[in-house]
Amino acid sequence: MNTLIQLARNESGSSSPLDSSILSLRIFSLHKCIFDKETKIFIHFLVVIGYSGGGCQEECFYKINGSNFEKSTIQISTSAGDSFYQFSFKNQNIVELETEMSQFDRQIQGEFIESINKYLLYDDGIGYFFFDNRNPNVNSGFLKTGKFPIRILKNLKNVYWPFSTHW
Amino acid sequence: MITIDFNSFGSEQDELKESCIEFIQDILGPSEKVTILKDDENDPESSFSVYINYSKFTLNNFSFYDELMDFARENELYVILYDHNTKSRKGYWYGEEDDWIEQEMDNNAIYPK
Repeated sequence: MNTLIQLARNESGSSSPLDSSILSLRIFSLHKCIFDKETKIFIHFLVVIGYSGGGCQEECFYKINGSNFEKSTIQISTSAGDSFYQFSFKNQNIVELETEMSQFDRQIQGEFIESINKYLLYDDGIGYFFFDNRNPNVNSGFLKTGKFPIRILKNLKNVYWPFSTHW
Repeated sequence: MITIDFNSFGSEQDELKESCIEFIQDILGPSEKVTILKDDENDPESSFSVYINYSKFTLNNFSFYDELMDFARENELYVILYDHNTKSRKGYWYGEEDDWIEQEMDNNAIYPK
């Protein structure tokens, strides 16, 4: 699983030099791309899961058409509804990939809970996550726990997040 | 003239080799030449590289870097573009830096013309 976690600091900032507390985080948990032979472009899919204080969890899919992320259109789908999501075209490959990712999404949530314990501690009482900011995997507001295309992330960093968390 | 170098393929990755050549010709059009070179010609199990030549491109006028990077990343391959005129190359080394790296080469660079 390729995972990157975007850390959103709480309003008071770091609590000590040794660790930091965060209210919410966004996990870029899966990236896949396929080449569409008809249009001759790559289509990228990403599953993104957002956690906010109190254990609230939301998730959405990003679909990016094309390889140039500065010019590509980005479509967003939420599990609550598809109002953001309108395919301009669909072929069998894309339909299959969507199904696969939907199933995989449920799987990675389980895997995430296990792997994230190595990096983050969640305090139920105050609804905050804690992480060790000396961890070399923490860089520029991201916690990298696996292989993930940084180039894509740079462009997704500021992409509209459809849920009401602190982004 | 540039040579696009994909490496490296395991001896059992013929299908990936074919899809690589097909992908390149799909987006860039027919190439002048495709060369397959084994790392060890005496070893039937040797890994190999694919070299695809285009005379119409230079490193500067090539406009498909993003697509090549996506293909290389998705298939876990390294891809290098070598410009025979300027003797320089740009490479995307999957799994290392998620960006193109340009290098000047000496006269001994072996990329088939």
